[in-house]
Amino acid sequence: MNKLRPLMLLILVSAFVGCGPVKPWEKEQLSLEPMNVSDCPIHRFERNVEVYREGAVGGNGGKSGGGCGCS
Amino acid sequence: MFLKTAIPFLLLSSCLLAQEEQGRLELDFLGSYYDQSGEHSPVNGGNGSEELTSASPVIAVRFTNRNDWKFSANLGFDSITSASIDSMDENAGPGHNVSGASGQDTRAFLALSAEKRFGNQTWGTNLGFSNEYDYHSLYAGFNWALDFNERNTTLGLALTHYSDTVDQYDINGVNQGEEDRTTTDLSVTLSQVLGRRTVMTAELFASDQSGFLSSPFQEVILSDGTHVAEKLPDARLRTGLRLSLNQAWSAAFVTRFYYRYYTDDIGIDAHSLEIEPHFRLPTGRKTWLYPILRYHTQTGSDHYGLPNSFNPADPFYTADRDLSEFTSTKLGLGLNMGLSGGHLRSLNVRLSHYERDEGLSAFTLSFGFGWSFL
Repeated sequence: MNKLRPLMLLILVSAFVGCGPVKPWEKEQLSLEPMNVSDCPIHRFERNVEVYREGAVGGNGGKSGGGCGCS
Repeated sequence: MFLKTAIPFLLLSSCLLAQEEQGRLELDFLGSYYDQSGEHSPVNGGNGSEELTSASPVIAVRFTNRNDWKFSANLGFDSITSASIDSMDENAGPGHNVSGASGQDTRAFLALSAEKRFGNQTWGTNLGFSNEYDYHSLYAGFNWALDFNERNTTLGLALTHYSDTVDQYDINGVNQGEEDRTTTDLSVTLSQVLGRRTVMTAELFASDQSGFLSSPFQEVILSDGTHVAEKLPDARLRTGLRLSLNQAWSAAFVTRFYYRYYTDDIGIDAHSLEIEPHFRLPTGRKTWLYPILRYHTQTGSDHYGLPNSFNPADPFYTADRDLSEFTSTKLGLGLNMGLSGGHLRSLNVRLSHYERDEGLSAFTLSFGFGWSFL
């Protein structure tokens, strides 16, 4: 986890420093469909394939393993 | 039989619930077709065809009532036909399975969830199971999210525990009983609006697995020519960090960026990078067309090796190329169409071609139709 520390620090700093709250009426472009922070519903199928065919998992908002016979 | 009963029951009960409660009902029908080829099947010790096709229909129902409770149910199955990998012929006779071109397997799953917002917090729980002839899984979990900073920041937490049973079909297709496998996933997510056109998400995740983590029917060819079953450690800790950044350059051009770093204790380190630039088409509808670009690279597991490379005295060994060192690329095209004026709410299509530098390639076609009923 030591390798991740500089990256985590960078993320936290960029999240909280220098960006004031955006007001609801300023969020028009944030509400565009591709701006959704979640994957589109059918992306799940490709994510499943990546879990089966690659050694790496996670990063999909919660589920990172189990529920299938893949190792 | 289960699906024939469950699908009409799910649809009918959802419609009745929506009428009774006067809430919002959303229904999605999703489907996928997957076709893979390769020549390094782990079922045959790292040699032989990896031909595999899979068709996966899913019905997803979401219901939101007047009190802001959200309920969802996902029901679906994967129907897999395979030359060898991931497939053993279940019709070979009681207690015996044969790896062969006729191999067919169906995995069915049901996932249920409920969620409720209390002020600036959201609490949710989920429950589900999946079943295939040699693998059975039950899971339960909860999730929590806190909105603050005028709803520009969301902190989320998700914890899920899987309890699985693996039937021990060995490399000769004989059932040697069953073993357990447990997985606990923890995910901490921070989403932050960085400006009027930018939102980012950082996710730290960990997955702790224990129990029988090998695939009993996957074969390894030792240096003395002996064929034995794959052996992997009975514990595995997998951790990583994901960073997503969505940027609206204009009302008609949005980029979605995704990066993930992954590491585990069997020697795999991986980096995955995805970019999906979305272009809004000049039509009356909200239609977005986007190329799909993904790059993935990983180091191999400490226990991976080529056929005939393993010492019989080694404690662990696997010939599964999924756990080897490789680089993969994915290229594709997606379409997202938002519809209005009727019950049909959205249409999504994705086509992608996946290729690993060791020879495996795959094609995926996915589609989804969404309906809304108030």
